[in-house]
Amino acid sequence: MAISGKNGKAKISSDLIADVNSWTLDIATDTEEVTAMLATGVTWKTFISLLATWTGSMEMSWKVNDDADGQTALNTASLAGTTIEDLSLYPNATNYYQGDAIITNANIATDVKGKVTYSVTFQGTGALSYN
Amino acid sequence: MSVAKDVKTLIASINTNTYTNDMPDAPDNCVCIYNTGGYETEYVMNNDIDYERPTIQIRVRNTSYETADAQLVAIKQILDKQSETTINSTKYMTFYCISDILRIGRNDRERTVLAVNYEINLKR
Repeated sequence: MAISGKNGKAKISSDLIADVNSWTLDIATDTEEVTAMLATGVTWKTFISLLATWTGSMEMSWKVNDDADGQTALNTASLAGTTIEDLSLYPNATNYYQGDAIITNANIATDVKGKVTYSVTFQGTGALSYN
Repeated sequence: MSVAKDVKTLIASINTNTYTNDMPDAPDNCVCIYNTGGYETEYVMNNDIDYERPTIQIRVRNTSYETADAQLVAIKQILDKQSETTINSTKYMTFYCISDILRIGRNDRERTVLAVNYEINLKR
């Protein structure tokens, strides 16, 4: 059965990030083709896997002024160029992907007819784990 | 407390005969605030609510069209200036006027009824 993202969440260490509307996580692995040129009857390429990387994004209702260990920490890391340690992304209430990340872009958008939003994209550094 | 009752605390100074959800037949000159439903709630993750989007309609009844209009203009000026106002523990972040002053009509007792509609963004 499909699950609702409403039960998802995001944390820095054990601290909940407030007012998260959505997040995405992309995990990729570099590959290199190793198809043998002289092999007979070869119709499919073959590859080996190299290094893995992960990136992601998160959209929130802006609360940088009132979420010290969550959005404020993201904002501080973004301005200082420091690494967020133990960023955890929960698709449901229990399971999560966790790793360290560097914020590569932060966007604050204000609209007179709508809410103020805070969006970040991040580049994972080091391993990503699933728990 | 209901949204209409909370809003009453903001605008009751315009007309001391301000009611919520049920406009009595008397007095002739009065204001009534109605809860009129609203739009879908904005949710955030962790099964939480970002903010709610109820709507209200404010009706002014008066034997003078001009007085009714002036009272609604005064009410609009109050509500349009609200920003993160806390009433009875509810934070009223914004009031959006979603339809300007409209004439509901004049009844057989020569009382004009005008109305204005608002969307509210609030956090409980």
